[in-house]
Amino acid sequence: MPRIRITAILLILIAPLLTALLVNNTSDIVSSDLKDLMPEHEKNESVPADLIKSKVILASEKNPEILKKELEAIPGLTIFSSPDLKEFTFRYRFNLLEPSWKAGIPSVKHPEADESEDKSVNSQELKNLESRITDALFNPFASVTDLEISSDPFLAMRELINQYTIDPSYRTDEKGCIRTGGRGKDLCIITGEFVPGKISPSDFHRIIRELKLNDRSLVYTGEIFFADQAAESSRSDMLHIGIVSTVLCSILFILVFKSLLILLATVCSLCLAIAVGTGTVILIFGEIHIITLALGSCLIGICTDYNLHMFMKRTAGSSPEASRSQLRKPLLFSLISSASAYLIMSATDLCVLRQLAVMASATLAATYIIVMHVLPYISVKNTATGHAGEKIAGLLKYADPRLCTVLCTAIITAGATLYIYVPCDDDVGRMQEKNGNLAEMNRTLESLLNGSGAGTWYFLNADSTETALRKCEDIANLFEPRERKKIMLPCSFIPSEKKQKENIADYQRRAGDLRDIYQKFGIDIPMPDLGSQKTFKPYEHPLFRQLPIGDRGLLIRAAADDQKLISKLDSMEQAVRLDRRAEWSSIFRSYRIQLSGLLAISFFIMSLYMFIKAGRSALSFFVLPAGAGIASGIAANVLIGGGYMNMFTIMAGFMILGLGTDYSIFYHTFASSPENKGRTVQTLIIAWLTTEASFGMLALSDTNVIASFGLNLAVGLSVMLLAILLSKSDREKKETKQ
Amino acid sequence: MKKNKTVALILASVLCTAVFAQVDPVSLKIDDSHVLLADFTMDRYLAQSARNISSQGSVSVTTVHGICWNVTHPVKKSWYIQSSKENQQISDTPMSFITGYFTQLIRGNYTDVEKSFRIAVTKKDDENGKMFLHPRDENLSKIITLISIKIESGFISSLRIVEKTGGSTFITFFNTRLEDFPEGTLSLSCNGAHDSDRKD
Repeated sequence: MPRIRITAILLILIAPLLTALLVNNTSDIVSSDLKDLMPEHEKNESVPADLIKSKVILASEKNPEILKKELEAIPGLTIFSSPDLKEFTFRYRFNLLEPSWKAGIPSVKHPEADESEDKSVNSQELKNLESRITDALFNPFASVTDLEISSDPFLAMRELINQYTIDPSYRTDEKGCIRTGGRGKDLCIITGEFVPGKISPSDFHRIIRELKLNDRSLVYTGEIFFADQAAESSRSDMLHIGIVSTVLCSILFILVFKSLLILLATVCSLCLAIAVGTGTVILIFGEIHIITLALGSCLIGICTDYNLHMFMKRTAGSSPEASRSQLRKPLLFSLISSASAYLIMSATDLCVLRQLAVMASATLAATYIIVMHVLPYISVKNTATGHAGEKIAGLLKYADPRLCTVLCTAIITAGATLYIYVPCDDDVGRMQEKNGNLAEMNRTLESLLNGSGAGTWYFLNADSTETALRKCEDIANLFEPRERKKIMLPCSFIPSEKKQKENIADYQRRAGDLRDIYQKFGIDIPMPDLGSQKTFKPYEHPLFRQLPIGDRGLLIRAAADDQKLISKLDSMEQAVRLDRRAEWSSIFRSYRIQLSGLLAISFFIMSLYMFIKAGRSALSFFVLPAGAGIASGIAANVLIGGGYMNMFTIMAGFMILGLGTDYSIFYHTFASSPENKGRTVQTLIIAWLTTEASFGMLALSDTNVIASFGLNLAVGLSVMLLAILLSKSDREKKETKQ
Repeated sequence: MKKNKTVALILASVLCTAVFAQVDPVSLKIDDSHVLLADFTMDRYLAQSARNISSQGSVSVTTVHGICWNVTHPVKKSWYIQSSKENQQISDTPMSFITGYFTQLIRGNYTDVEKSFRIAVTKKDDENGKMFLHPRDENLSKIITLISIKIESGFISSLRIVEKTGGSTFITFFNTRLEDFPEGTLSLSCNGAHDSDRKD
């Protein structure tokens, strides 16, 4: 009968993962998109991923033409020719383009001319036009040719170029590279794009290594590389630290239980529980983020403890039913408390945290079911003696509980003070600090691209390309000619369809004035047939792919050294200042603040429950130890980890609270009777050791943020367990008094 | 017969003295301590509208400050090309080619010009001859087919720019002379002029 039940349970448990794999496309279920980390309400206002997500920037000092050819040969990587603005204007001026692009260029006039009732504005506008034409005809240095006068009689394109000067520190060389000097180097900048699904950043790194381009100083950057690196880092940590911790935990299990079967059963139980958690998340959200997977794997710590408790009971000679009966209540209580703590996270609008809440609850519930309904029926030998635990318990008897209370209070006070007074470091850049190569290349390219007068980017959010361009055109009129030379507005070169219609009407309206001016010098210019002029879709424009325009907005670049211009842009409601690092840091700050609140709520709910369940003694065996555990983790981060505190410090707090709650419940439930105390202490110490062997190891991670997480857990759990073991139940207190 | 002999003689002398590329351009009389002054007439033929536009005026050139182009007829207007910005103009945009190279040619500086033009030289002697510039640049060659410069007694006497459309610009310089260049003279004579380096 148990066999049928066990088989049914295992099948039910595996169902979520199987269903998730069947329903979803397996290649898309693990996401490493940084955008998923953003709060839901900010996602829509942010830069569309397609605008920058897969764009890469590459630069080389030597042999750029060979490099360009080699890069073009990489499958899945589209290399754009250099932004051909100059080429485009050249072709426009000399009629080398399709005539339809005429609609794209305004005849260049003062924004208020024609519409203005002030005659002086229109008169000045006419003078400007005449001056331009005089220059063209009589100044040999103006380089105006016969062809240009006939194809662009307003000389609009050259005037436009003069109005919107692209950063003069850039120049295009004869090889088609944009060249920019910086740090004593003159690098050829090439831009490209990864075709989704065709090439990954890892493939790219490998191909670049195989090409042996080191001597050509290739540097590259792009958001996709950072997203990939973060994912790779998590994978690497999970693999390397995972192997070491698995070996250590296995040795511990073998030493304690002297049974390979128990080890195997525990590993299978953990894998199945994580699979259930993962499958549930994929079923609900359609995918699982790599960060959810990494943080969710930390649940193994709690799940291992459930397994340990069951096997300690079984190897101590309890029958399956007796073990189940003894563990049902404390395990259920532990499950409810831990799951509640994690489920509180689903109240946030942060996708990863909501995924984590679901994964934690599902994984813990699955572990509970496996531990209660499958593991008890595995036949084991009586190997657990509990002697070591009894010896330790004997030593702890002499500890003064008042001293423990004082110490815990001191640690809580110190931790709270440090959290309040030591500034938290939410800077996303610091999280990757240990990963030097990509960050260094990014810094090099940023300094080259932005030069001494760094650029500040602004985002215009819209529901379509057309509306984005219209918004851009609206704000373009607000800039003075001086300011226009310091700002790059994509709509200057690719107008909206609405603007194109206005341009055509404008040409027609001003054609008479233009003809009069040319005739003054005895020239009859052939006027273009504007009546049949058609508009074009912005994406059809030859420059579309080379300008930062997407279907949900566009980017504007302004010279950062012009404070007046920056203030003006900052004051515009439509333009959102874009500082990717600051943006992400702000998101992580928001995570930290939300999580801090949730941790406090979880701690309060747990404490309340413990007080209801155990009365006043909950203060000594739960409230103080849990508080001291969380506070000591913070203190460790400040004193040992160099003051590095961020949202992951709070995440570690959740882990300490979850695991510590288990320790408290089991200690309170079983250690109150002298016959069980030794075995319970031994179980808790083994549970603590397995957790340290797994999560304490994270302190050795290459990534700053994970290392800080591991350090926090290692210290916090140690302090909490010690404080729990030093606490005394009411009965022990009475016995001590007697 | 006599006419044929003369033509043959001229052809022979042209063939004998034709030197390609940067070997030995005709020298121009200009240095840092003098200002080159000249009067000019400029005839532009706009093939697209089949019209001729003529203008007249004077020009002054110094290696230090640049060029002042002063038109007196049919409009009165001056343009001032600063020396310091010429190199940037050359490398900046295809449209600036003519401006940049023109200023370099007038000043007798061929180094940058040779990068974008094949230069053919026919010399009578060191200070007299003709230079023919054929664009190397693909874009420029779609617009300009030839620039020819005639040099007499070390001064440019005429310059012709032939465009692909059949249009052309022909500038004739006369009364060309070198004068001592007291500091500040050029800027005074070009007072109120447009700074043409932006009007590429």
